Amino acid sequence: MGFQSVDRGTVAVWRLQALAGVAVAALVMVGVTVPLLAGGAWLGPVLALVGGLLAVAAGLALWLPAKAHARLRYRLDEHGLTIEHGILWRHRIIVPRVRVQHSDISQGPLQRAFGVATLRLYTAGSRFTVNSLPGLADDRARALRRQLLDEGDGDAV
Amino acid sequence: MRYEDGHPIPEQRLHPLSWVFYLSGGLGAALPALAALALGAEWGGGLWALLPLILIGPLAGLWHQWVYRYDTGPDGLVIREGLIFRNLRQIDYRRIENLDTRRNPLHRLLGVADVKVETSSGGGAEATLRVLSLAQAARLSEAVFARRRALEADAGAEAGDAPPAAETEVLLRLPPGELIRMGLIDNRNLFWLGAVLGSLIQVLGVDLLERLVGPALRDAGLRYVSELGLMLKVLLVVGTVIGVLLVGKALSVLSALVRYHGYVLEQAGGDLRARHGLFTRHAVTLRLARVQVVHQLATPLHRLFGRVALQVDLAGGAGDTDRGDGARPLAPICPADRAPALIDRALPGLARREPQWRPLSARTRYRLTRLWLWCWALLSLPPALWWWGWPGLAVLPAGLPVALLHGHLYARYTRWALTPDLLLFHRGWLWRRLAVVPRNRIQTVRLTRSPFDRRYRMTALEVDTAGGGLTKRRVRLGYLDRDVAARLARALV
Repeated sequence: MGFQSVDRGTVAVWRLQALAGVAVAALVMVGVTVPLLAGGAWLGPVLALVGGLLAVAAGLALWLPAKAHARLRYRLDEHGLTIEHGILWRHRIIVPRVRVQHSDISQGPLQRAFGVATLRLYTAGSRFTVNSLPGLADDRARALRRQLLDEGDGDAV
Repeated sequence: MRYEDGHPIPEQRLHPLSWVFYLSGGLGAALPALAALALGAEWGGGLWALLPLILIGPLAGLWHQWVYRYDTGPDGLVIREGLIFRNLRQIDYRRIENLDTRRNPLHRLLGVADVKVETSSGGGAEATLRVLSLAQAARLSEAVFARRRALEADAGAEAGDAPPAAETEVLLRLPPGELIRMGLIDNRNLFWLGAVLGSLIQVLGVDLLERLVGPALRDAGLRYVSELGLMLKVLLVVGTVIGVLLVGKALSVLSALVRYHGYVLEQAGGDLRARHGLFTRHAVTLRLARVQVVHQLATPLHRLFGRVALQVDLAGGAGDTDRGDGARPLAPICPADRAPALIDRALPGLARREPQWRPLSARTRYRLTRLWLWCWALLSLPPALWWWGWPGLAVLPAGLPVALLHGHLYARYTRWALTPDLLLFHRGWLWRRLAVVPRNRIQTVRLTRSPFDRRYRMTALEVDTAGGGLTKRRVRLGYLDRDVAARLARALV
């Protein structure tokens, strides 16, 4: 079995989250600059600069999630789960089945609206104790966890 | 041990002088007030405000001593804390990894010890018994380990293998000669001394210096330091540096002699035990089952003396309050030729025979040389151009020899090997580090390709174990060929 992509719905979730972040930043920046510079000659240029920055940020907020989705893939085989992610720095994480101590499936309100969930695998490691695979469709996340846990009895350290 | 409705109620109490060891806590609380006094605050009402602060420590200590109970139950160590908010804790014998005792001079004067109960769950000591008399500590340790052995023997009998005989064998002793070498090798004090000296000079200023050395200078017919010749100034600077070096080295020799006085590492069954310390006696138990990675470090000074330092990463030690990184010295210093035998002891039953060393990617040399040249250019060009104008470009080739040398030597000395049981990674040429990771301790494997890695078709492979966690000691094999890294990752999990 080759690598699989995660659910498309997660792109919308990430976009909305990123856009919300941009909106908060916009509010803060406008809220700081307008009262400070009100009536001054600098107001226009500064607002234009802030507007430009925010436009770039919004563009990234729309584009990066799609890119991240394209680069995020996973594979379940007899050894365990392999997760690949990252746009510039590309990571491949191999979590052996026997090393999984416990697992979480979590869903925020936004994720619930789009029917996606995050699967988290906890190992007894020290630097990378939590390995998360976001953007799985609900039922797929549950099925994946079942496959992971059923076929390998958790070994200790 | 008595039972109430089937619940175990611990009955053993702490040493009657336990409260003494809470004094320092009270003093700590009173410290701000004392500082205010020293700075000239009015006595008046201040004294009365101070008194309860000083009493807090011993009173809390008395309360603690009065309500604290411990006992050895049928399956685990039982500890009861608190009277109003009761907390009954049971620590399973099989989960107890260490009973570390710590004794500073006050403990030794009163014949008592702090006993720390450590388990594999991480986050530091599970419980600290403060304080027990030596006899109590010995009884507790005896009882806990006897029961643990019994429980393990039961489990072992079911599995069909006998428990290992618990005979003690000394693996390493460090006579004073070795400790002196260790102090000479250690450079940490130097850094601090330099910092302290630098700030002292900042504070005292040149004025005072002139006042101190002024008479001598005047005798020599000079009025100010600034009138000294260049030669003398250089001599002064060199003299100061040598002085700092000598004092720093003397201090580190002294601290090594004090801290590691009478260092003995011995093996008892499945445990390694280290005892050391002149004033504060340390007794540390390393359970072999918990050893995750063995690190060997050889700095240039280590190699000058033909020595190495060995450390182990223990599972669950990441939250250790003493050191913060879960690393324990296996041998703070040992002759280089004895290191392999010690590593074998720390990782028993693992075949280490003749590792087949494999080099990094063939492009490493080129990549590192380029990287160093770029760094050199970015750091040195702007100031050079600023000072000398266009002739400053001449600094650029000056960095080439170092960059070439570093690239060549790093690629030559950095190598890895995979044996049936172990992953070995040897890194660096000036500071040489060797990490020995048992393959069955590897939790996850992570391959990373940065934009630069992609350009050179390389991959970095990092393995994660239950020990360590500190950046300096992570086991990360950079500069591997892409396909080599992929194959290695498949082999490891």
